[in-house]
Amino acid sequence: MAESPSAKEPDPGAADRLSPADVLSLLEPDQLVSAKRHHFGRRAVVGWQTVLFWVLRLYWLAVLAVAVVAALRAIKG
Amino acid sequence: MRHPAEPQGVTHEDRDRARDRLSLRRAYQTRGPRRWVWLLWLTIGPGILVMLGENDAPSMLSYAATGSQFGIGFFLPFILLTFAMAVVVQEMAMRLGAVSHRGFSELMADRFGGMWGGLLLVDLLFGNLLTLVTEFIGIRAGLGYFGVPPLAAVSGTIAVLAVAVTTGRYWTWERLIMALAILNAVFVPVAILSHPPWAQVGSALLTFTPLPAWSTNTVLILVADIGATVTPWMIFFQQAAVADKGLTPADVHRGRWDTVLGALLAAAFGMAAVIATSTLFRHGMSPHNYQTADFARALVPFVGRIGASLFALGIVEAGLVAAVAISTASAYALAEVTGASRSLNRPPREAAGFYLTLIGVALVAGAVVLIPHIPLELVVLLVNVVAVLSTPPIFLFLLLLANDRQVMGEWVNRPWQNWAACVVGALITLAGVLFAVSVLDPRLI
Repeated sequence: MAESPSAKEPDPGAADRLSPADVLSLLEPDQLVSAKRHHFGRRAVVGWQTVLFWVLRLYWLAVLAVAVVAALRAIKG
Repeated sequence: MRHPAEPQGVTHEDRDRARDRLSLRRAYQTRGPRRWVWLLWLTIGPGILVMLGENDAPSMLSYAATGSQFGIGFFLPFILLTFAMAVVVQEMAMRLGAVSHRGFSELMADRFGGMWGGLLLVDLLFGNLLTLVTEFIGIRAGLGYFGVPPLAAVSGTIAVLAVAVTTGRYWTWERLIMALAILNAVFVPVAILSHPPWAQVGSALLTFTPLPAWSTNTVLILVADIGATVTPWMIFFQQAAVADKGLTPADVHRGRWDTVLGALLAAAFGMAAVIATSTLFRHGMSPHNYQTADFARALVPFVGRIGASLFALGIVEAGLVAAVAISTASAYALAEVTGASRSLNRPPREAAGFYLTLIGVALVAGAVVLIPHIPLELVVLLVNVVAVLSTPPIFLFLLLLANDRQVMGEWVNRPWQNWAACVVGALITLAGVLFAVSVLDPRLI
């Protein structure tokens, strides 16, 4: 997907000389800093994903336990 | 924060990004073979940086240890395989960044809520801080070979990091760090100077032989190699850097080239480290606890003083590039979750929190390394535990986001990409489980 050429192009060497219109034409609408304040919103979680996330919570607790055991063993010996 | 002088909500950050897009647009309009090269030159960066950043000081020392313990054999092509796994993961991160223009933390918090976003952030920041400590250990040891005192080594690293990030321009920062990262190639002349048996190198690459003897140590090296090549900070870094660079879906194809090129370079330099130190194995020197300076000194009879110095410099470079990339990943992630300004296109006065985080984490890690008698082995062990065990959940969220049609639209994973990702995910999880078992009871492996 190539970008469309513009009739009259500004000098890329000088960002300060890019007019707001140039900037708007060069960036995708959702690339602007102001547009990035928009949030995608929470994703709807279906049944299997709920189960998956609970498994992840348990996994994290197990990881925490392993990390503590590893640290204690390293300190002791 | 909008600069007061900027009209119509167009910020300095937008202008710099637009400037880069204009260069790309001009490249798109050219014809002939120059077009492809020019476009690639403008697009490459995040993929090369993330892959060469992954070739960090501990990784290069791990490759060196592998070469000296096992010689030339299975582990040489295995490095290529681990980087192939990294490409599968990092391609998704690159595509997410180019399509959504958001970093991983921000998308996580958006789509899965603050609890998961916060948990992953804490996990990332803790893991990154520990990893940074290991980078400073490598830098300190590498410069120690040349007689540089630890305080000067740490201060110099932080100075380089500060100078690079305060250019106020993503493009300048990226090119500076890429120039530094490509110095990872110094392991290639060291490998050549070691006069390896090239026929054996070719045979090992084609046949994966000779196989190492099965032992707990072999399993741990396999697990560590997998764990070290697919790490959480890489996902956060590449996605955020792609968004900051301003890549769009039009650039995804070249973003893939960037990622693959980075992986090939990193694999080549990693294999060079293995080949360089395999000379120690051939001469019956099989060290188990060599550090940077020990390796460099041990290599002197075989590669000369210049070769040994290049080896030590390579470890310093590897630590430096990784320190920059990991600090930047931490700053991006924290700013994304807190909603603060987060772009290397912002001058420091407009994104003080972002830059303070970036330099602050490096300062803390550097200070830790300077504390006398600190148990650095414990830090290295915890880095491995945190990295290997926290990667599977982060990878899972990456996979869910790459299949999220509301975010990715037509750029969601294709079925074959999901299959490849599932294979990589299974290997990462297996590596995590084996590592956990080895920590709890090594006799079970």
